[in-house]
Amino acid sequence: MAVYVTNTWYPLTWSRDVGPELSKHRILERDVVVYRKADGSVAALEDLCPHRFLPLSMGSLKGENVQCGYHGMTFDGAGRCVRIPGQAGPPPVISVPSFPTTENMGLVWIWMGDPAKADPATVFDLPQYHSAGWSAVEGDALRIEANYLNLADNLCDPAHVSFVHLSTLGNAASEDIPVQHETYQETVLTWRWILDAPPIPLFAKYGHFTGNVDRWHYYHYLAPSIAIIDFGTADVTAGATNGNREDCMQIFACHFITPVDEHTSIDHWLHVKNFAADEETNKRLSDDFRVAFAEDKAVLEAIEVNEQVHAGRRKARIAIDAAPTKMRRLVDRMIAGDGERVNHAPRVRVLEPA
Amino acid sequence: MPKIIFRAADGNEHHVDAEAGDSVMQAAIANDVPGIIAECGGSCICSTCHVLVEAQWAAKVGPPGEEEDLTMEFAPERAENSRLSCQIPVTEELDGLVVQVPSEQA
Repeated sequence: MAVYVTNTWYPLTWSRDVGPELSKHRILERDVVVYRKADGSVAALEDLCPHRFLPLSMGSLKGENVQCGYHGMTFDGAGRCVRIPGQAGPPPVISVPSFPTTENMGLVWIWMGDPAKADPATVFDLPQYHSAGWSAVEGDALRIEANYLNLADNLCDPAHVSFVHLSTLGNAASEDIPVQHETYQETVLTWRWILDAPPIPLFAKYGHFTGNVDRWHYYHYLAPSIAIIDFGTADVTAGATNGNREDCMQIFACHFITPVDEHTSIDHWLHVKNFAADEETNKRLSDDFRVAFAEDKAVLEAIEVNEQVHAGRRKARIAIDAAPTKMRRLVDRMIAGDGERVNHAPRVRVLEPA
Repeated sequence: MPKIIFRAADGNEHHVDAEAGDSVMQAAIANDVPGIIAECGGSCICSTCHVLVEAQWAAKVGPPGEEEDLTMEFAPERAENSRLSCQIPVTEELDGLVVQVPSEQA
């Protein structure tokens, strides 16, 4: 079993998919059953009846309580046993572990660590998601058969877009432009500007740019499982490099990663953009992201297979590995200090001009 | 031009004329010094330009920085006097510097 940061809010699933029925999930190598209660809150219990270990998700929801599908032992949303059929007297003190949840940005977030430390105010938020003038579109829950930190490598790595995403997010103009990075608090920020270059296919398609553009990629990796990619494009005359983002197209591609186990991750992605679009355009934009993220999935899954085949073999370490290397050190530090760690609300830092 | 002496594990020495302002690693690469690989090109990431600084030069070269110290976790022959040569700037003061090249890099 791998070790994980536990005292943090992890994205678990889309809020839209949680209703008054049992749904089964797996996160940090633990099975969890989830349902929505009448007050709108989300209950999350270990998906394991303490009696014979049948998954509770194979049982049924009786009002606000979960009834095991084997002998009818019944637990409330906090995991306390409230009924044992055929056994006289009040139910004994038997319980199922329960996990705090909260919701934000269309997602259910779960706290797998010490419940006493779970403060909903410290869940991730991107203010633009809620702001007028910005529009948010939910994407998919993309299952990737790869370790979440290999996905995090990819999300601390703007260099790969010049090679992996040529039909959507990248073009060859950026191939040899060095990537910069810095770490602060529990964040690794990786970025580069590409100046006076053709727009990437995605912005060429939606942006109606006539000539060369200045464009940027800022990858904010908020350890351990959130990545916000701020990327945008402006006419070279717009002064974007001086901080003027008024006349630009800007998108936050948000990746909310559920580490399922050592070899599986679920990337809940959505995009938030500063331009209005009709439903059809939003759908086409999401489809473009689907193409790009499927490209990442193919790369990461092939790597995962090779990592297992060649376990222990040394990998070459090149300049662009600086940010991913620091990312892994940061996660290691967070894991080592998990017991004492205070979860400060992770936020995307507002950036200075280039 | 400051001279840097790279001493291999077998005792062979490579005397190199280095450019002040370059790193010790760059001086080695420019002169094909065996055993200095510099996979990451001087980004303090790969630990394949690891050298051991001769005792009499330790004070002038100074200790590794924080990142360098972490990166040297990868160095198989790490010792008290370990440095990554990409993180040592060549100066006139280092004229005559002697560093040992380990028999194995990360």
